[in-house]
Amino acid sequence: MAETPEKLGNKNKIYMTDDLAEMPGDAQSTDWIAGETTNTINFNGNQIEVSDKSSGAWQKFIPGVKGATIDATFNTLDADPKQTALLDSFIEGQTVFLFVGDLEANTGYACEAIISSITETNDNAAISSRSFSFVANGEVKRI
Amino acid sequence: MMYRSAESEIYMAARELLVRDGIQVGGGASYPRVEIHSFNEGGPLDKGMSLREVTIVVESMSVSSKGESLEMNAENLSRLVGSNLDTEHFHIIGIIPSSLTDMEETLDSQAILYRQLQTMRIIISQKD
Repeated sequence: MAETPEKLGNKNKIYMTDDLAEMPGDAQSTDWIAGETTNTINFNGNQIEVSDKSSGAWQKFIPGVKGATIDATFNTLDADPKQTALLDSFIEGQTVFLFVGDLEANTGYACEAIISSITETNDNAAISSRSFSFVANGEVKRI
Repeated sequence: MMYRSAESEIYMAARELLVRDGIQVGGGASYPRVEIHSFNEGGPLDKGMSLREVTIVVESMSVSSKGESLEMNAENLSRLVGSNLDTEHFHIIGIIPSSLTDMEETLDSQAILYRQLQTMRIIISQKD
């Protein structure tokens, strides 16, 4: 049996912090980017092939540089200061600080990131939504 | 934010807009009559548990003619769609008409009952 139970995705929210969150306490509930409906964090790592004549029939690798991308979708809130700040950061070419995780359980990931894309969707008879894609700029801290 | 059900406030606000002279609104068994036939409040649509979708069915009933029931439905739509239903604890973001069902029934009295069942989606967000 697992020692901790499963949890709802609602618990893992995305927060925009003033600085890189070194510990969970650095991210506050007020840092939550309001209107969030979903977030996804994806880690990736390069592989450097080091196969040689001793490798036999199978390739061999050593791990290369790592990276991460984060995608998050929000119900559009034009007056929300966090959503507005993200739009401004994209236009002005500034990096942002993000924490994705569970404040109550003190678990998650923190990183500095650049905004790689913004998508705004306005379907007929549906809530307008705004999606951001982020690319981690440097280390992603696992908290 | 304390999670609240919207049913009481939205139901009452919608009913208030539907009230007019010559039409029974809710309760009783007289005709012509308009009722909020059903009220379905969906779960939260965001992680803040603020945004929700409510589906109501407004029923217009006449024993005179189908035309009267259609006119009542048209009046209901004009009163609800585009109206400001904001209540103490909820913002109304939009009211969107969807399907309309037309039914005819024969009552025990042998009179024909003309019914229009208009479904509407109401998008709401709970205030802080």
